[in-house]
Amino acid sequence: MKYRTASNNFHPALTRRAALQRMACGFGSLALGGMLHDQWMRDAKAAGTIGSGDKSWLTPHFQPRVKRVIFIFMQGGPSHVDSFDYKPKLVADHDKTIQFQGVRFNNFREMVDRRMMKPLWDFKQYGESGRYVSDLFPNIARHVDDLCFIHSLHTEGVAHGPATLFLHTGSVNMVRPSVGSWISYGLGSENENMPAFVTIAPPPRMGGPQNYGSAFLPAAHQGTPIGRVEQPIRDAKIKHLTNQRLSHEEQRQQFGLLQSLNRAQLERAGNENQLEAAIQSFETAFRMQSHAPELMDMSSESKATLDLYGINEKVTEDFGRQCLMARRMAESGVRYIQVNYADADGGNPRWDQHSNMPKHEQHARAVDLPVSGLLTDLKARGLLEDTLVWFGGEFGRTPFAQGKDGRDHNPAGFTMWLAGGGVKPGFAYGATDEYGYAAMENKVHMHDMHATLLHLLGMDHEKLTYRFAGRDFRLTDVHGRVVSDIMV
Amino acid sequence: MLSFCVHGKSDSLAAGMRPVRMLALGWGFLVCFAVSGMANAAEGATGIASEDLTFFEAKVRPVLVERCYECHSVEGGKRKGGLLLDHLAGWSVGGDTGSAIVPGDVEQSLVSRAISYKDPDFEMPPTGKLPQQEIDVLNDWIQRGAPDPRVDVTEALADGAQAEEKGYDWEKEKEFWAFQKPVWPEVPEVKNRNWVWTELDAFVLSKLEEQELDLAPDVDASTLARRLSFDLVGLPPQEQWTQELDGTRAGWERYVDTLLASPHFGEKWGRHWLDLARFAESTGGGRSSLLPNAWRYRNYVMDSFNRDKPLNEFISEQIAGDLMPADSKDQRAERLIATAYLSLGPKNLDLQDKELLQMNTVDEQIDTLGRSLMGMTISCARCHDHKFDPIPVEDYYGMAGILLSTKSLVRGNISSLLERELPVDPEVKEAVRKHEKIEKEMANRVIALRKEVKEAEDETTRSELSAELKEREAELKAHRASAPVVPNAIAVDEMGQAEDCHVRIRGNPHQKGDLAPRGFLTIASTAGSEERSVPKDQSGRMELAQWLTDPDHPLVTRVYVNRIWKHMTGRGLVRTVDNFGNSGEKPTHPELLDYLALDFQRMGWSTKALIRKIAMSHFYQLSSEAVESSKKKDPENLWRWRMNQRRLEAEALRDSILVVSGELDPSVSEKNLGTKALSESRLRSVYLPVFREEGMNDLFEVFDFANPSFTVGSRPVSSTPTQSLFLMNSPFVQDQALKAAELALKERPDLNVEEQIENAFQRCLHRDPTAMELGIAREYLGEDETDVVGKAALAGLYHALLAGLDFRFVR
Repeated sequence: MKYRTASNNFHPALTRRAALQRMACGFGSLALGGMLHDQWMRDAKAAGTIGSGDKSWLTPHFQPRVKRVIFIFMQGGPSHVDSFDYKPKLVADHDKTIQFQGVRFNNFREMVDRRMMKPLWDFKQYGESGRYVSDLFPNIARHVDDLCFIHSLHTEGVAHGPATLFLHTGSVNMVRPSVGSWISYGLGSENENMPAFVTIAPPPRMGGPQNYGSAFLPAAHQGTPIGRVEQPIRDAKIKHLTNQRLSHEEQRQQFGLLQSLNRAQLERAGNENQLEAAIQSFETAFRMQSHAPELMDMSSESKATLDLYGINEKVTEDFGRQCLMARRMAESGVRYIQVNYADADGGNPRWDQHSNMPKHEQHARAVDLPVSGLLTDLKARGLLEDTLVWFGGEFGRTPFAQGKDGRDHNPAGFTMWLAGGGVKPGFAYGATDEYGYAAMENKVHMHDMHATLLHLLGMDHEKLTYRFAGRDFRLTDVHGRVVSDIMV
Repeated sequence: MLSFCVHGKSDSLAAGMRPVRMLALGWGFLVCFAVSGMANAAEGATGIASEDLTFFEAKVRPVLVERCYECHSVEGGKRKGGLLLDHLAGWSVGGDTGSAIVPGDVEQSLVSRAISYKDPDFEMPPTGKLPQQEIDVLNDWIQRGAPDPRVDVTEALADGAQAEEKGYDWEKEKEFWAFQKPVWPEVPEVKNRNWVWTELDAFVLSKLEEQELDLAPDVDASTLARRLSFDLVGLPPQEQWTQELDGTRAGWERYVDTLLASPHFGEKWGRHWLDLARFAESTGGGRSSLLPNAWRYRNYVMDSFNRDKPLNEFISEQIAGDLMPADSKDQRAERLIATAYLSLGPKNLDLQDKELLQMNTVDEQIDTLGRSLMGMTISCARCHDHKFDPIPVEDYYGMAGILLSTKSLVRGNISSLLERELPVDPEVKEAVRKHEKIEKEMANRVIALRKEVKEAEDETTRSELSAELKEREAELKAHRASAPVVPNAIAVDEMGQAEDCHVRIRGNPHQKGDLAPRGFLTIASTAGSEERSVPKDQSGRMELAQWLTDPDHPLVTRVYVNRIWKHMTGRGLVRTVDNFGNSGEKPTHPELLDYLALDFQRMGWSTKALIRKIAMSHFYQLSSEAVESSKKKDPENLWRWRMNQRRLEAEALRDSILVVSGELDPSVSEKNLGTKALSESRLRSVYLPVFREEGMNDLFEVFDFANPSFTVGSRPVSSTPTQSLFLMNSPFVQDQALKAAELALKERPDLNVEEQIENAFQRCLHRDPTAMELGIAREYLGEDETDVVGKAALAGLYHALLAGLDFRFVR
């Protein structure tokens, strides 16, 4: 049985004549251009794209140091001891057997023997700050005087799923809003034609959409995905942004019809707020439709710029495009931009080299030049002053070997780096032990990292709360410490 | 706002990786220690040797101030883990795990243990190990007997004592409206008696008269028919239903009954329950597992609503269906399937800390039980006594014991949900047995043949044997494929051994406190509670179900009827439908709420009877249009002087679009449809798979479909540009608009332009266009008077109608 609408007999139909007569009175008063009266534009700003009323988290003594964040996510757990955390003792004790505690697949209180494995790449000192970086990242290395390393990160969750969710949402298990959603909720967008939070080519596994989901925050704060992982960025799109079937002119007409009918219906219903907001969201969408593709279209970029990001090289093209798109988004006022070096693997994501550590080289080649290009470009355009770049994975890797030439997950100690407004350039904070196994000095928990990010954006992580199910929730739960020692 | 405890279920806390809370002190210990501590302190102050005093001031105090005060002092404004280190009583009172310092005994002093950094679960300060020199100072001090001159503790102690004295005066707590038993109210007298059709009208009208608000007029017939159709079955009105309407009250009654009897009723109202039960077909978490059998629970719910199963039975089945007697095989199956309610919550099945996984699972179950059935945020009491409601930690762990004694998970590296075999006829069992026997024989033959092939002495024998082997292997494969299936369902079972649960200190699964006897919420205990103590050897789910469905339970029925009211009128009498506690809102019409609750029980806990009663009332027929005088006084329509205007839910929006295009397939699905169906299926929306991780139907994603990870009693209603992009540009909407135009032209090729426009309005909005709308549409379609509409142009009109306001708002 197919279903069909009942034709309605309750209401005497208007005669054609009567209809035309009435039309003559009311119709002319409407402007048919498709654009709304200014009044509607004003009234319906409350469509939900901006955080709630009082904004008590924006207190005057928290001067924002940056306006936006670019998070460069290295999925799978890149090895800190092979890249940014230089441990001479690890080189010296190569192949020695050392006892460790807290190693997974064992009772974590038990001491177990592990074979040390020196870094597979040589370390050199760079810049005036003399920071050590390995040959994995020769291009990023050139920027050390702009980078602020945190060598003492530690986090929760020893498997990818929990740790990835923790990195993005501050919770290993419960469904919570992601960092970007909190920031969108707290600050709103700088550009009314664009969403406040975008994630480029997000991976579907290890939490998937939860990693950019708004959970119980209003839906407007969820991250807008652009493209998906393993699809060339060249083809990446925002869902339903463009109409594939109608010409521009046809679409304008269609939009005119829609909004004219909407306005007629609004008038008939007595100008209810909810309806006005809905009409307003059509206007925003229509503007976004012309604005966003422009942002994603890189044809106007010079060859020099494309080269800078490695877009003309096969190895770096894809991630280069992601990084360049991130810059364009940053320029246009998107608050939180995540770029993902990730894949759709449900078992061993990208940097997850339990065996075959040499494969790290392949990943480093794909991201080193693009990230370096992004830093150079942001700096040249003066954007680095009010943008925070954040680089890292869900955890690091063990200094001891797994099997012949692999390394296991290590949430106990690893490195992330920041660059940009508000943080000390050419600086290193915290330390792991002499092998790089566990954070020891000036430890920075992932909750602390989150608190610090919010602080740099001018928000108090203890005050940025949302009431749900009778409680006030926050990104950092009951934890978090702002790491003020890394700030300028 | 309580800035010091703004958190949810502290799962991260519970992971035990952040040592801050490890030194925690239970509030419970504070008062007795505080008193003796003060006495000790006074003696200590007089008895400190001067060299000890010098040592303290020169060496110890600076370390404490520098390293500890930030989180453990009155001055620092923090008392992490309940511990204060800024005065003697603070550390001597100690934490959950005892005193923080045992004077003279470094080994026994938790402070020493924490600063030694030897136990990864117990490290202080959290930012890194102290320099050895400072560690030595503190240990030396403890060794000396921890002489401490800091005895001026009035402020800190007052703070502590206050916390302890909290206790509960249960009589007083029960005075809160939601914890009192509902009582039959008197049906109020009203002035405008003619307006009153049912008792419900009298309750509503008396408040309106009290507030001197003017009623909206009655709504027109077609809007009313549309309203009820969406409310009861989630679809636009169909001809076969509306034919009952003849403008009389009897006709309206027949229309109501027709909709109540429709199988689509369960699809609409079952979905409301699924929102509460956070129904999904995958677990979510890091490595989300698919739950191919979850659909059985979905269909069980819809079926229960269609059969108007009494609520008390419906709830009992979901809590303890496996323990209830059954009249038949089918009822046994149904009652097993029902218990998936406990299992279906979001989980991270590859969480390696299995104790944490277990406690988080229990917590999620308590949260769902509490919010969906009782409107209580019980899980606040996981880490400490509830801040707003009288729910002590012991009550939480009393319920946790019941759920810990219930098996819903199968542990493993990647754990899984427990599944149980559904009962089948003896013949099926026999067939399975036979099938297995034959399979074994066939498998043995294959194994033997393989051996023979290997050992064959000459080529000819080998090739002959090989040919036979191939044949037998194929047969075996075919046989296996034809195995009779004994269906499985996600369901719970009793744990081998039932036991009480230890209170977990500050919610940390690894920090055990006292045992909490299994039981229920003290605040909502009923007269029957006494006899319902949990038997030692059983989980206690049966008793939990009995308590929840006790007619005297102050919360369960009220919460339920309020939900029905909400779905019928757009808003609950208690607006915070999932929170009836102190932090929720109070009912605008408390007498009406009690009346609804008791009347509901009187009518045999019948959902359909209650819905029918609301549908037959006069206020249900009010227009949603504003009356200026009332809007000024009561802009939020708290007092119900008009009907609330509502936006269609995602499901109803999609289904209605498919009705207009003629594409909707109204059949029932008895399986999980898989990801492809998200975009391709033309079944009703309720059958589309709900995955926590893999994404959902595009329309659901933008139109506020309930997050399948929590109890959602009231879906948000947002207006976002992504909704508009979807409506303007998605192939789905464009395709359906085109199909709708084709259908209209095919069925009514005879219509001229204007009639085609009217037809389109009728099909989409169940009304005629206004003159203005007619004008707009005519202009769009072109002014030429040939009076024929092209397909593309008509599709454009349908597209605008489907995307427009009146299509998705119910007036």
